[in-house]
Amino acid sequence: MECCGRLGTVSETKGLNVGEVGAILITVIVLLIAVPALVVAAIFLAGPVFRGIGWLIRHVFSFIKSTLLDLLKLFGALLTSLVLVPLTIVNVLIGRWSSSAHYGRAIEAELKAAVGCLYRIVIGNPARLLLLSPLTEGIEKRVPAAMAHAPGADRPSKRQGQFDGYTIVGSLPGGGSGSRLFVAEPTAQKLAALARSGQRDVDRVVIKSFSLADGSTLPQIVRENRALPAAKRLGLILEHELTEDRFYYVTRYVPGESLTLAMQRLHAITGGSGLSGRHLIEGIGYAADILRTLHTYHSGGLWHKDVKPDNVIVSDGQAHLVDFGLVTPLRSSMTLTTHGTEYFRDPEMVRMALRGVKVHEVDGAKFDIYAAGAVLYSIIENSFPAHGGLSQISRPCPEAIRWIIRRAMADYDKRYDSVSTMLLDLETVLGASDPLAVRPVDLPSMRAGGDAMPYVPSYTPDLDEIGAARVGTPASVGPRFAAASAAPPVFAGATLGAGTRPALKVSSWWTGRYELAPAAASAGVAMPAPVVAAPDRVPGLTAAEQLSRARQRARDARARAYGRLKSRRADGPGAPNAGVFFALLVLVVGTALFLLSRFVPNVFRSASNIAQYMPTGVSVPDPDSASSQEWDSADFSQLPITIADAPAAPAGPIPPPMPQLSGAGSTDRIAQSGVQIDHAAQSAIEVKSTRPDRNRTDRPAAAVKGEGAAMLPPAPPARVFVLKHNMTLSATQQELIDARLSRLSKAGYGLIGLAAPSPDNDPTIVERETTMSAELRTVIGMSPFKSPPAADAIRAWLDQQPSVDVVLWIDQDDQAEASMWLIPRRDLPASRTEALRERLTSSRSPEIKSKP
Amino acid sequence: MLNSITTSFVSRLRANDQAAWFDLWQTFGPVLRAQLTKWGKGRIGVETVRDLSQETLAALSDSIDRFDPTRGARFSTWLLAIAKHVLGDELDRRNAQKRGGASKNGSVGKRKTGELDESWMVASAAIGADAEYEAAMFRAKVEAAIRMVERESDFMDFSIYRMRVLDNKPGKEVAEAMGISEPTVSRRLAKVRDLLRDRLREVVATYSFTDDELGEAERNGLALNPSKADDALFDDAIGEIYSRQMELRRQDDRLGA
Repeated sequence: MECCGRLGTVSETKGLNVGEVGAILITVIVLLIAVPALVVAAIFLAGPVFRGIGWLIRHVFSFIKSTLLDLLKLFGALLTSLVLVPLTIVNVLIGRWSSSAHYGRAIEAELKAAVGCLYRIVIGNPARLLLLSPLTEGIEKRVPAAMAHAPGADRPSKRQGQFDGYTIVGSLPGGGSGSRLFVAEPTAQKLAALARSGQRDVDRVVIKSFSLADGSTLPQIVRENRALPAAKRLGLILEHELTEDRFYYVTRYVPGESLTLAMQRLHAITGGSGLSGRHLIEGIGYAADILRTLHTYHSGGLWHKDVKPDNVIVSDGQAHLVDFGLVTPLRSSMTLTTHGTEYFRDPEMVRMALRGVKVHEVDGAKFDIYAAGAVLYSIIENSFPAHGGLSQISRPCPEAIRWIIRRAMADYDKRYDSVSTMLLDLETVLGASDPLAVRPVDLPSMRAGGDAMPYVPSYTPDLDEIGAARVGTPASVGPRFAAASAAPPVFAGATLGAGTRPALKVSSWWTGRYELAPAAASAGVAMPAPVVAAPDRVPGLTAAEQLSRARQRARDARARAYGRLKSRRADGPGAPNAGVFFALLVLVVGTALFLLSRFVPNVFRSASNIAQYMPTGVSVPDPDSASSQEWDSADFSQLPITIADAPAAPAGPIPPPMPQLSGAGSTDRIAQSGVQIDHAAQSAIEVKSTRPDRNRTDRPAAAVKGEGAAMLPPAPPARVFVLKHNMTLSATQQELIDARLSRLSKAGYGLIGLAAPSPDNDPTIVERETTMSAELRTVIGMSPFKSPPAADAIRAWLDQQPSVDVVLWIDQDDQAEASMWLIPRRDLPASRTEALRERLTSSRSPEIKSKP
Repeated sequence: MLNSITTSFVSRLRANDQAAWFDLWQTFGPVLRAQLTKWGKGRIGVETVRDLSQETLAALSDSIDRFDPTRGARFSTWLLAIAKHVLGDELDRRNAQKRGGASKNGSVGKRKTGELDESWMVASAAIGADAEYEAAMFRAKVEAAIRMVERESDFMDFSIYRMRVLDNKPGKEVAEAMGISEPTVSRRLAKVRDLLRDRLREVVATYSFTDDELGEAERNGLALNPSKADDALFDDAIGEIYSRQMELRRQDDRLGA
């Protein structure tokens, strides 16, 4: 049995062991399968999971970051606006309308940026991290840049005087030549004079003025003056005048933006990947416009010398070359100077100038060609060519354009000989159906072997265009030319062959003044013909037809004038804008608030206090209407005892304290509130209610006295802590208050506090009262006296003062007059507070009024 | 030992030849500005860097008479030491101003401003010219040579070379653009290449004081006495150097913009 028993035990043990082993094996197998699987799964899934978590965190942080960044930008833009607003206001106040408009535009831009930030914040667009740099990003550049580009005064100085025939309407930022630029409108007489000289449709002009009195120097005046006679003959300027102390000349005003800004805009549209399509055509078209104007210059024997994007104004899709500051006669005998703008000035010219080469010894037109090539480079690259001919062209553009730029910016003896050749090349690209497909070999200058091709515009102008073309102003150089073949030239100087210079005879070596050489004049090739107005009459028409045409022209002229007048104020440099209005609004609102706070000192405090009043539900019988009336505040039992100070009023006798009366809740008690005491000149104290509905002056005084006396409620005296706020009382007010307080004291009320009448000056008591006053003021802290927190603080203080039942607070009311408020303990019966109030108000019974 | 070209150049500088100084300024101005910017570590502004690079040349003009070429300093070290001196002077002056210790004549400490420490004239590794600076100096020399070739060669020839080598366009594309055959392109390329080799040899000789500097071209893949097989390598090296030099120029422009 034992054996069996043992065997059985052994078998059981074996069976258990087998089961356990099996279970263990299964577990091990499962584990061997599961663990690697889990590991593989974990490895496989860990990447995506962590990537997902990372993406989520990045996304959230990106949102937080972007929001913070937008917030900083918003504040930065607002700060900038705040800086600019005073500048705008100051300029408005001193009458610098153009400057104020300028600053206004800057404010407008800042506000737009701020609105954009606000929009992104509200909509929740992502922004960037907790960097503080965006707060000041660009401020140090924007504000100085805005100030640097601000126009000067809108009027010439008194020493300089006005310009005859012109009304100054604005100004432009001055350049580096010591001059001042004014925008002006010709008078009717001046317009007529200009029209007689062939200058039509002059809307506005720019007057470039040099005044010795204003700091201009004689060399500057000489430099500007030397080429102006020729420029006037070409119609590039309208007129000029030189006096003993002043020199100025007048050109057409071309509103618009500089080529630099126009190109930045175009490149921004294309996302910085270079110009293409119509943008490319537009940019090349601007370069062609510049070349046409330069052709006019060179044909007239002039050299612009300062061609750069900032001197090109883009208006109505056309580029206009401006600034005649460095215009030089090609035949001048003066020495070359290094004037010009870096990167757009041929380095070879600088070397020649350093060697002392004379102007007439070189071909100045080639330096303009170099500058034109540099401008074309900047159009393509949206940058400046810093390395001359080696400047790299990295943006995509037609190979032919690269060639033209290289050719124009090549060394002096390798570049285009004339702008006409370069213009023909450009127009070939412009006229191609696919400009990108134009190869250098397709250019006319390559086909013709170089530079012998004259400039041949390809359109047939009508009579008006001929007139405009002869005028030859930058603003009226005529429409663009479509292709390189067609009609004969119409410019006065366009018959010049490429590289042909006008034959001139210098009449003044100092100023560079010159005359047309007789031989050249007879050949008709050197100088452009004097400006001649386009003929108004067409041969072969009847008188009626001519009259009809004349009337039509008059109607057209009126319509154009009307259109100009309509848009005159809208696009001028001094036209007001939203920024100016904003600045003025800030000024008006600021001034109004200042005046309100200065002359109506309680306007803000009243508003805040009113907001803190709460309906209380404490019902107090109305003595006049015999109905209940709610107090304004549950926190204060105000005694609006307004004690007006009348200097002439004598301190009349104070009536004795009224006996305590019973009958609380009477309908005809003396007013609890709204009682004002005035000292009349007749030495009487008039009692009236500050509330209109209680100003019952027709009540019989005796009746009031009798009824009021009968209704005073009996109440045990309370202990009153009297506190006078920091205010100055007149003698009369102090006397009245003392009288009331002494009456309370006589009535059995215990008065303590520094403001209470004290029979003896026990130092211990005084110290205790001082301490209590300090404690009371401390618990109120900075809270307004009539605010609920102050009331709670006072009541909490009262709870800790077993010797005080009521605080009597003497302070100024909203009308800055002395008043008293009662703040009772929480557990003080209302009847006792009422009794105290009645005791105080009863002092202004009609009896007082009856006293002499 | 100096060669005759270098000696001639130094003589021109000593004779205050404006053109020589202008060439020096044009060629190595960007490298000096980049080095000064690097040394300044943000402590000196863009305008100061430009002023200092000019002052470097001014200091060079002051010390050129005392320059002894037999002491073995490299040309690059020559410029670098003067630039370092000028920058150190500027930083000393600023520190003295901060402490309020600058004297009336601007002297700082024992050394007076403008008093050049001429220990650099001896070949020494203490000046600390790094490889990047030396490479930039060499690229500036190559650019100067290219600029000379641009002036001297025919416009059409150089345009072809520019398109093919500097702009890295295929020969076929260049031929189509210019309306010529590919052999013509090759012929014109060879013409410019030969001229460039000559000018490069000249420029390297001008701006080299040591034999080590003279061998820089060969070490940079620009075989100045090559076989035909080296032409492609030469063009590739020129294209690469030009591209990197333009990048330096762009950085320099951004400084000035």
